[in-house]
Amino acid sequence: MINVNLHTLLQRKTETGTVSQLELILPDGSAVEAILHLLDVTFPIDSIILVVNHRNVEQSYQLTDGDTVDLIPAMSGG
Amino acid sequence: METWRINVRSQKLLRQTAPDHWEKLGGRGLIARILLDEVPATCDPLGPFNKLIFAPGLLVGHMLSSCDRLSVGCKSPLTGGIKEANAGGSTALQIVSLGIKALILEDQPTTSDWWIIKICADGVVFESANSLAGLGVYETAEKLLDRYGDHNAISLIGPGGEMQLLVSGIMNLDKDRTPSRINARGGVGAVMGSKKIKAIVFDASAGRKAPIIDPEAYKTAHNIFNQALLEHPQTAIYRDYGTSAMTKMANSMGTLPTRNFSNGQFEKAEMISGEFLRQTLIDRGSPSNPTHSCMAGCVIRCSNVIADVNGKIEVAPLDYETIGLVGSNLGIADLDTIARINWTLNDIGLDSIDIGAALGVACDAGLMKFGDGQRAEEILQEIRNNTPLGRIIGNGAALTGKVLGVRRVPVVKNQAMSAYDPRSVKGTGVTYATSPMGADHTAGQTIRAKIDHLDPKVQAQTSRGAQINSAGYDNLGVCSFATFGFAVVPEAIRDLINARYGWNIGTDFLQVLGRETLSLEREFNKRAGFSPADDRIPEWMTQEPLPPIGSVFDVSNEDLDGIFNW
Repeated sequence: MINVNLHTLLQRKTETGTVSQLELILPDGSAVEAILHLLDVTFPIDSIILVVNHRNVEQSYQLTDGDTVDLIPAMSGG
Repeated sequence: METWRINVRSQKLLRQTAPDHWEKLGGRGLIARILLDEVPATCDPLGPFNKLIFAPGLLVGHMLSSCDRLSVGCKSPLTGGIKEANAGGSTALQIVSLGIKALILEDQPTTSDWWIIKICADGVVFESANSLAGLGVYETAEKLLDRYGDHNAISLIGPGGEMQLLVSGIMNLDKDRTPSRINARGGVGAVMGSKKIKAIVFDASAGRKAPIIDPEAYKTAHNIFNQALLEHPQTAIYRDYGTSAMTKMANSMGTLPTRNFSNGQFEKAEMISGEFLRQTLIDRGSPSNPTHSCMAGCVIRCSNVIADVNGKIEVAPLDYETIGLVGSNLGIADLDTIARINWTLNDIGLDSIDIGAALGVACDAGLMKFGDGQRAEEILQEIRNNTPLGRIIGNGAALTGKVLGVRRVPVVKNQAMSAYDPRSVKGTGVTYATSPMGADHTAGQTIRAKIDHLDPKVQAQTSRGAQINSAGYDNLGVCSFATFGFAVVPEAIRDLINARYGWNIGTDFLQVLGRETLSLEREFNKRAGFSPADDRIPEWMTQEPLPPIGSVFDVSNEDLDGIFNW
């Protein structure tokens, strides 16, 4: 199970409300980019910060069961 | 463009053509140059030899989106070193329309009277401000607007500046005449207070727009920049969610200051997130507004207006740094409470970062319980009432820590850290440590960089680039959030400057300005007595692991000391 947190513009508006958290089951060894494909994220990849277990990663980073992934449209601070 | 010097003792104005070596500097860089040329680095920051300088950036004057920012600088009473504090709002535009490149307040009065300086195209007039002494920023601004008209820009101080508190700022009107745009950091308000100036009123009604040497080339570059900014993905994020969208991002990266920097994650982060704030404001309806601009012409509009459930405006704007330092850092998870505290801080005229950090230290000392917003508001009243406790907290986190005997104090050069714990975003930590300003994320933010923020080996290089660019942009009057537009079309900076001034600068102008500014600032600090020992993160942050990541700040001293070797 992979826990996915969606930030700001990547949150999903549905009839039952805003979806900001998902639990996904992916094949062993899946990379972060698999989530982007699964969710059909069209945001430019250079403009998304990928964080797994609090750490910046590349889109090719291989996930492990229990990981927490944050998909963050990039911001430059407050 | 002229330099206007006002001697606050004699109340005389001297108008001069700026010397040649000041010409291609603006904002922060010009302040550094003037301070080095004219202010003894070892002077008492609150004495007669310090100067308070208002310097708009080089691009200010034509409502170029997000490029009308004001730099205010002096020797800082908080850090003892050089200081530039930056703000949006309407002041810089009016200063440029008056043909002023830099406004320099000099000397110190010998009486206890308070003054308003009214500045217009004909010169300056001093008028008594004794009836305004002790009044909060909002009431003072209202009275000044009634008296002088709402076409003016105003820079003013609150009771904090009058009391010369070391973290007091200078407030400016936004485009809707709300006095909430603060040159916040390092005690610039205290220096204004030391010169007995309650407010400066800028009336540019008889002024004129700054000339543009090549209007066609300027228009072309303007359009290119605007298009880049409008199309940039970050513009939509800041427009819809404001800076408060940083809350969840910082929380996910384990860098959100929580309970006096004892944790990098806040279990109630969702309740103070930008996403939650936006939905709350939409649900409450007008006058709440998740999208608002602080200056005319801004296409990003990252600001907001916070009203309570009854429609009473609590504060405008509420930004991430305040949410981080006054919210999670104090264990407070209620946005209305944070907004009310923010209003009070504005009204007293104080830096919300440093006071939030000071209150966090006070929590560790047992003067307040984490999560107790009512106690925080009581302590702010103590500041307003100038009680001994109020003066301790009101002088910032560094002094609070010393007086209360707390070791966990998040400061560098006595200035409080912004809402990024340097143990988990270490590049910003390098900036905190080495910036001549003291701890300040705007001096070189690295959280956007696609690097491993925990790897100590790659941080100095990242911070160096960010610090050079930030110092360069602070010469231009460019908001941090317009920089991603210029990052896409960097040649627009060259073209705008050359078209406006008739110069022939190259595409490296931003970096040239940045390096020169940092060199000047470091020279000032060196003359003031700073050494490499001042370019360090507090020792406890190199020893105390930050949950949940468990990281410490471990960038080497060699990397810190070599960062400005270019």
